[in-house]
Amino acid sequence: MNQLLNNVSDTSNKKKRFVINNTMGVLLAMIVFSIFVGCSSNTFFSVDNFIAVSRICSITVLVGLAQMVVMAGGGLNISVGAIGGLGAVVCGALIKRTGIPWEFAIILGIFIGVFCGAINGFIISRLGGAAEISWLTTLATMAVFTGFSLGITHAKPFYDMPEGYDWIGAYNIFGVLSLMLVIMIFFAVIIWALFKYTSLGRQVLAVGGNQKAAILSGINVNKVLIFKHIISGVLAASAGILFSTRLGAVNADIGKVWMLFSFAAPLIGGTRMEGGRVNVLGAVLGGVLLALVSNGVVHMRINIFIVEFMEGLIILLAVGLDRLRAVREENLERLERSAI
Amino acid sequence: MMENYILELKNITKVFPGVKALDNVNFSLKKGEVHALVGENGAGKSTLIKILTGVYQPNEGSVFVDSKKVSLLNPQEAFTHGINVVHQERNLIPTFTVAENIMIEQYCKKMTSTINQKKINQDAQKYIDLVGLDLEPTKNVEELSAGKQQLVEIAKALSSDAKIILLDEPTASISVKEGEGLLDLIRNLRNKGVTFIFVSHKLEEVFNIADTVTVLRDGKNVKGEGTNGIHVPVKDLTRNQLITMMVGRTEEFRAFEDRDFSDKEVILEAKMLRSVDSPKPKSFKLCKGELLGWYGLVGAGRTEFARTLIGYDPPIEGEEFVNGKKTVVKNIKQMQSKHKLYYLSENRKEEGLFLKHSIKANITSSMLNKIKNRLGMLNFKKEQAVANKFKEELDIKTPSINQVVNNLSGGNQQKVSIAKGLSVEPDILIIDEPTVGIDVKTKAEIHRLMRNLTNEGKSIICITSDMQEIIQIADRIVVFKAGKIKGELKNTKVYGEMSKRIMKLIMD
Amino acid sequence: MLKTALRKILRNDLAGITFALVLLCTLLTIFTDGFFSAYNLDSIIKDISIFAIVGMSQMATLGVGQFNLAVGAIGGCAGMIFGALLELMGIPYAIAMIISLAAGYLLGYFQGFLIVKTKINAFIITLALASVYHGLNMTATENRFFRNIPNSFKAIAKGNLWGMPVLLIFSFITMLIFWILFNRTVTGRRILATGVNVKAADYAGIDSGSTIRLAHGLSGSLAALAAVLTISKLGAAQTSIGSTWLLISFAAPILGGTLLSGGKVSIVGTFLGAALMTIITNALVLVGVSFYWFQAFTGGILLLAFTLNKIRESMNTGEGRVLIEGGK
Repeated sequence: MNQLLNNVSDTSNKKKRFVINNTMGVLLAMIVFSIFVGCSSNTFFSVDNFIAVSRICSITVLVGLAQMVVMAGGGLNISVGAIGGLGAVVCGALIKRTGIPWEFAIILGIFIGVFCGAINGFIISRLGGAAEISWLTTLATMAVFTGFSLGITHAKPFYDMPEGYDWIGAYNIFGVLSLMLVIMIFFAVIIWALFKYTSLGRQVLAVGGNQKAAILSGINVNKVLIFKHIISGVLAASAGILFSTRLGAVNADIGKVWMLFSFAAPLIGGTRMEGGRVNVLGAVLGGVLLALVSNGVVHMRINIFIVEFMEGLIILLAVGLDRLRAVREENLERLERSAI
Repeated sequence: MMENYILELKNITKVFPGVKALDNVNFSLKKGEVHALVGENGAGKSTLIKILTGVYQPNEGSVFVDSKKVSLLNPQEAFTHGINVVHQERNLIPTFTVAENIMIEQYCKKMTSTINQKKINQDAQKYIDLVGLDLEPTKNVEELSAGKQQLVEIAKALSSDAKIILLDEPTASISVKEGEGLLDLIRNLRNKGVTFIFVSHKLEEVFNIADTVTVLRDGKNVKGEGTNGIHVPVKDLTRNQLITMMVGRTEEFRAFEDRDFSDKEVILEAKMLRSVDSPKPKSFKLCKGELLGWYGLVGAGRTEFARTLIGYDPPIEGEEFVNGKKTVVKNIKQMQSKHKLYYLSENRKEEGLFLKHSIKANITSSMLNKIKNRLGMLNFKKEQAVANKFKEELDIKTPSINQVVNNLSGGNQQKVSIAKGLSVEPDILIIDEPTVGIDVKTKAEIHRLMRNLTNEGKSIICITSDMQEIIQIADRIVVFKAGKIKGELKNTKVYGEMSKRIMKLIMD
Repeated sequence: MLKTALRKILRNDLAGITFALVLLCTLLTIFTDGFFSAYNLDSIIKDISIFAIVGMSQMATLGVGQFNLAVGAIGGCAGMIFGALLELMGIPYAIAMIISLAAGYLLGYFQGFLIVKTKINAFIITLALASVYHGLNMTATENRFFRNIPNSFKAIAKGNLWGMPVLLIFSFITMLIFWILFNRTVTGRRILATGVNVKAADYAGIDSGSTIRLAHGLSGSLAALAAVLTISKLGAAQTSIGSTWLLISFAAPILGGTLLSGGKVSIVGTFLGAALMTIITNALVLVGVSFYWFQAFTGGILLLAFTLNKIRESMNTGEGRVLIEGGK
């Protein structure tokens, strides 16, 4: 018993444990699942499939990071999918309806992400800034942004995108490394650096960790709120545009189902809803796991709809395990105290 | 007489609806001293602190920092004037490291600045050493004990060049050893020129490290015996003098008559009872018709023990006897309905009342089963009758029982809470801090009520940190400290004697 | 003066929304041709009837202070169960309805059970379960349609009784039942108490756990009812039923005065909220706004609703308090 107690309260860093536990857990799940699928299908472990999976996960990870940034500060962003859709739609509309070069259109599409994020952040801060407020506000803005997407496209897709545009989604470096994956990694590294090396990142985490203490330390909570939503919006819009480059078309359905796995990736990877701590690597791996699942299901010839079911289940498992861990630690602490 | 006053509060008056929390209070702090602010619960200490830290603004009077008048409209402003507070609850980011918490103001100044982890760790080390913490700057704050966390907060205050560090009950939730370390630290820092305001219930600490004492009682300054000043140098003070200043004798001290319970039946008994949140085994007895007081300081463990008895945190060892019969405690509902034991929480707003609901709904919330008819439908007439009955009996001041409880004054809210408990017709009532934050008149009414209830045959345990209150109303007093029962006293109702005996039990 | 009038309107939930409705209807009648036609009104009322039930489904969980993101998913499941019972097993629709409602109850109850047991945020649990339920639904039914709906059942949505559409009668009966539940029964009181303050409920001897499970169960039943009625209207059971309910399930109760923080519900208000949302959408159609912009408007209204809710909440608690004085 004493040794058990010692193990809990010794100098091993809780943070390190947190990162390792979750990352290992996800990696393990990934490996197990891959082996499982690989056994029932011989096309799973192929270069082509690797590329396919890498494309899927570039989206799931970006969307997951978009949510993670907001969660880190203790909030939620239901509108990630809608922003993704709107970003792609605006980009597509600009390309198709005006003469501007697609590179500019992409930049402007990303700006939509800034704009939408700023709106989210602004409204939430005006309404008080609590976590429920953020979820309800972004629920409403999701409808607004989707509405705009529909309004712009009249529910009709934009086809025939310029060659360069399609190229982004199709190109494979050295034939094996999809450009989409590289772009995703680029963003992931930026986000990682954001939280590790910038004051803004720390401020977001501080607000998520203990809002009261953050305020007393001089942090401007509203400013932080708006900035984190802007970053979230940029990631979401980028995901939407990136997705459309692969699709070769732009339609208002882009992002429609992203809400769920935007939570799945970070939650699986160990980022908690209450905020204060992030696991970028975990979220990335979580996104990869989701991609593997949706890809693997096809290989196993299972009904594609099972993916949604599994995503929900995975979230429950991940959060449930996390909770179990927390409860166990709490109980150990209690035992410690009563032994004194 | 040019005193070097770093902080002065002059003629501060603060009024809340129904309560005058501070009445023309003065407070002057010299540079480089450790100044203790002392007083009973409800004396006005926390109000004064809230004014100092910008949470409240005084109705009258002014604050001066370095002889310049300032208005502290919010905590940030207080902070910019160099007033740092280390509260009773921790204000740290639990998911950050020690260094990240200490240096947080520095690296959060601008959004765009980059984090140099190494520099943060290095800079923090200076302050970590200053407070005598022996640990790595990279350690996570949430893994530290309460005492160490507190030291981190002090280090944080030092890192921002605080002029004044205010410590609010700093040793309340930390271990004895850590408490001693903290006191040493304060002494050290004081010698280095840091100024402290030290708020504490623990008189031995005051004598240990404070240079000067200011005592508040009933919202007013108390003059030192024989000195006539309101800031008394500790070296000129004896323990007894300080106690007298704190608890004093008030004109209106009128205790209830003595009652003898030596031959009465024991209605509630605990034998070596312990639970998860109340881990030290405790034993006591409650007689039928008795008003038993449980006295202790903040953190003494009385509420936790009450929660054990009522089934919120069921016992894991030991025995509980209700009406002489051994009881297996399962949950609150069982203890309420089967054993007629009801607990009224100290946090009436967070745990006792349904603020959005009406008085009527609140009062009947525990006894809905008794006001329903066959189909599970509420009998509104009965509900009304019950609510009105208590409105009359307890004299709840409201135009209507449909009034939302949130809009009532503290005293009336407390009455509603008590009515809620009484509505189930309990035999045993445990009331936790019945008169905190309540005006004097209502306080007396509630005391009278409790006495009457016991005269009618009910038995009451009154948990309170108000010395005057407990000596006025309790038949016997059980004294708690740090989760243990230190002793039990028959209440002679003689103020001076009882207060000293109680304090002695605590300080031993 | 305007401020106090505004305050009064905000405080009295029903007055405010009734005023808005009356105003809107009046304007529409004056300025558009189609609003006051029998056909249009009939169509609106039928939509409102169903949306009101969807709103009440969310209202049930808001009563305990929690969100139910799986309203649509549970509705979808229960709807498909209903369709399957009719088409694959030939069960009479009255019995199939009861089974559906029971299924909805169970799905909701399970949700509540998880929430209480794991102490995980209701948001995450209902979000995840929404996926689980919807995914199961799609997988089990392979996204087929059940079209073999007896005409007698379809007649429910089309028919009138006592001069009112049958759907509306369903809605009214549901409202009546729930009005009685929340205003007149011990159970309802317990739900609301748990919604105001879980801890206080525990200390008062109210079993907050079973109350929460019950609330979610009821929510599920209502979702199932809404789905079944939708099937009557559509003439077919399909998995897409419920997929658009998320927004309106919140908008209706909030506009109607149900507090997001729990403990206070308004049944009539939810109905009126559903009415407002439906009529606004109708207005957009009549005015000629492109259909594609509807969602944008709905979202905008929802934002407005939250702002109102925030103002209302702060009037209920902190700011704007009136202190009733004890004698001095």
